[in-house]
Amino acid sequence: MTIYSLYIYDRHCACIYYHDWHRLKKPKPANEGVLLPNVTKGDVSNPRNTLNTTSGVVVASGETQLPSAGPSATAGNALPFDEEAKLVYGVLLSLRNMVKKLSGREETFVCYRTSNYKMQLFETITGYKFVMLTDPSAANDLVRNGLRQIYIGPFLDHVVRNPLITMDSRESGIDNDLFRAGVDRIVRHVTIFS
Amino acid sequence: MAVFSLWVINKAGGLVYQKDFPAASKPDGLAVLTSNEYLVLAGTLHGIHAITSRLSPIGPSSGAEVIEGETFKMTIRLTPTGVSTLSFTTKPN
Repeated sequence: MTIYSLYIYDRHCACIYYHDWHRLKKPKPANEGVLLPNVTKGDVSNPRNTLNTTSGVVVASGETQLPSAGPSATAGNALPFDEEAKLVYGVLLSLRNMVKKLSGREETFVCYRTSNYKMQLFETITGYKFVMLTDPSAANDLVRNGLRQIYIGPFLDHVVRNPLITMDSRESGIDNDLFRAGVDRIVRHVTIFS
Repeated sequence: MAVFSLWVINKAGGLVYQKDFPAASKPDGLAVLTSNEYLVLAGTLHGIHAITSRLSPIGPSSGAEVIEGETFKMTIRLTPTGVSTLSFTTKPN
């Protein structure tokens, strides 16, 4: 089971965290000034990134150094990261409302699957949405459990209880080293045991 | 596995056919909505289907094929002519 990426959104509909693992088609760098600071890191020297390192990398708006894009950088239809994050959120919100409306009960949207990937949602009562993109064969329970573990573990410990991070701020994401390492640890744990 | 409903959506995203099958057991089944609401939902789904094919992290992908809630799932099949068929079913366990 391969896990491609994780997005976390808060109740202000903003992307406050992004982490990717085995993503082949990297997004173009976010447009200047649109992405909140502290959402993700530039991944130029990422040891996990075994693919072409001259392709477009995700850069938060605070970063000034952009690697010079090689000729293979970005197929014509790669989206900038901030637009992609908004699209993911839009799809998520629309599907959630649709499922609720169609069923007539208090029904939650769980996941959708395409031929290439599967997107799963875990939502907390406080309005935080944890979205994970995996390969299509991933078992729902495993991924849902993994997202729950991320919420119970690193999220509560290193974000909610962290005095240096203001939650629900409209100006900043929640990226920090401890949280990133905790998320990484849980995701690798999930992928090993499947 | 019981089928609740069947929709057919044309290439432009408009709902052209819909048939509901009454649910066998009481708690299952979809809500009954007005026909206008069904038209709006079908159009929304058509758009979402297009967006999901763009969001793939690994290269070109089809649009969403299965969308799951907790008690039901929706299966979408897109034909080469652009007509999509949706079926709403219970989730087999």
